[in-house]
Amino acid sequence: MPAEQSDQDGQLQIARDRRLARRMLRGDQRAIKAFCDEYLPKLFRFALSRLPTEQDADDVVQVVLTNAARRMETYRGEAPLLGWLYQICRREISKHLGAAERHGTVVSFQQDAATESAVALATAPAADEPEAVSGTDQFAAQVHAALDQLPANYARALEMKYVDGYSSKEIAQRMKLADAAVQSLLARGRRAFRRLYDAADFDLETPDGDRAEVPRRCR
Amino acid sequence: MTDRETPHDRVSDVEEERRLAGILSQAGSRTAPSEAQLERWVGHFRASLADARAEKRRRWQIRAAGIAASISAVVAVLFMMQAPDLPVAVGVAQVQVVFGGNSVGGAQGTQRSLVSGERLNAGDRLRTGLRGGLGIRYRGADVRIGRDTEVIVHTTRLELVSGVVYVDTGGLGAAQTDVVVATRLGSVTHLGTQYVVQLDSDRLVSAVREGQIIFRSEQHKRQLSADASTAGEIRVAKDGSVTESRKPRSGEQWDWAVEISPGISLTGRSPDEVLIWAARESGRTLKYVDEKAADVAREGRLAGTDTKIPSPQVLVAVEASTRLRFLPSDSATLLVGLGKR
Repeated sequence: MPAEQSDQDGQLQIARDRRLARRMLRGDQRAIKAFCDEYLPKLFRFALSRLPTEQDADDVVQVVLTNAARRMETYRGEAPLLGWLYQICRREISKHLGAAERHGTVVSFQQDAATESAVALATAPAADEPEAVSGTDQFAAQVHAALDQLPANYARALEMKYVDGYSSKEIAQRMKLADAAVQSLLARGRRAFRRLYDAADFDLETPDGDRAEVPRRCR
Repeated sequence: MTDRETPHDRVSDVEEERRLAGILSQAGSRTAPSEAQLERWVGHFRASLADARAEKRRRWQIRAAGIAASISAVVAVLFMMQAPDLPVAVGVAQVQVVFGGNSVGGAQGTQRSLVSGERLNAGDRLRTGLRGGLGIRYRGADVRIGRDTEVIVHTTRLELVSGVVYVDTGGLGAAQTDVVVATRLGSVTHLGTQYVVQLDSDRLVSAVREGQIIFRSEQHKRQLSADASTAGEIRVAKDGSVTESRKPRSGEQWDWAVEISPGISLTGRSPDEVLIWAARESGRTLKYVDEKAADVAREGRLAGTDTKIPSPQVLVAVEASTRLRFLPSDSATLLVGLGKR
């Protein structure tokens, strides 16, 4: 059943993305705002986790947005819009790092594990790409990447509950939902987060050295 | 469905929740772009989308223009092919000679008296009087319409309803284009230059005195040629039967056309040039008695009026202004020699 639910969620998301893309192509400003609110922070994090500096991520996001706008009419809604944006972003990261290397603006790759990993990631074929850099940053990046792939309300609820420490009642107030609805939302969010771990074959080690494995039953 | 849990699930979920809490709290909050960054990106994305839409519109406009041009070309080709049945006002011919009066033309129901120089449109119906005739320029050819004749001018063919037409596609300045004369008994297309087509109530007669013609009907396709001394003639009866014969290159069948000749301007032309024209007008071949006569005819230049004059007057004018003389000969030859000084 969870797998079926996941498929249904995926199909709904794709259908929503397809409608969103069509509306943006028609110049619908509300659709553009909805797209930006949902996807720009995710895109930024995706780029930031693969590039040496925030300035690099900023530059890349801007280029990605130009390309996405230009290619929006080619988006057929066969996959989620986020994945489509990540694909464009990967290519731009690769170009950005390649250009930086040619101009000598990238330094001390060997001393920066995250950057080194990012270069390896950006230059690797897409299918072989690991989804994050290494070390402390790797752990956070992977968790954040998983959250970014969840529906926005799932990720927000999980973050409020487990990162910010709000109670479910407080979350209900902030999200303008009933307490029972928040409980249900969190339950669905945990399952979805778990499925992403399964798909990525997560076997995390926290920076403290603790094994943070997802329970085997849930895999 | 998924929210219904067993006691075992609940125990496991508590454990899972504890672990997830550990993972998420260790990872911390997701990094968010600043408000300024977001504002800048949103503006950039809006502008890029607007550019992309403008570019798409421009591509469509170019594509639409290309499609429109292609459609126009196809329509033009179709029009050229189908126009015979379309009474569209497109200039396809010009009146050159109006002989004997009482000739009318124009679209059906709006017929008017025709005058020299008038343009004729596709679909115009021309009628000549009992004593009249018309000369028109049609597809580069000299077409003469005999008395008591009815013709409809189409873009690619002349529809002979009744009467007689003469076609000369080989005269001075003629463009060697096909001229098809269509009748209810079949159509005649030239492969050469001079031919007549006559349609009566019970038969079609077509003769060629220079070059070749092809006659086509539902049952027949015949090719007919002229030779040096005779014209080829084909007769098609009402029942569709076809007979062929040889006939003189001049005579009553052709003489009427001389009266409707557009004529020729002599000024600046050599005697040879105008004599060739006059010989063809009468269905004869020009021959010189000797080279001296030929040299005089080719080297001289005529001067005088720019008015076009018909073939009988051309011969008079040449004799009056040069040493060239017309000598007795057979009916198929215009024989020219030198007279005494």
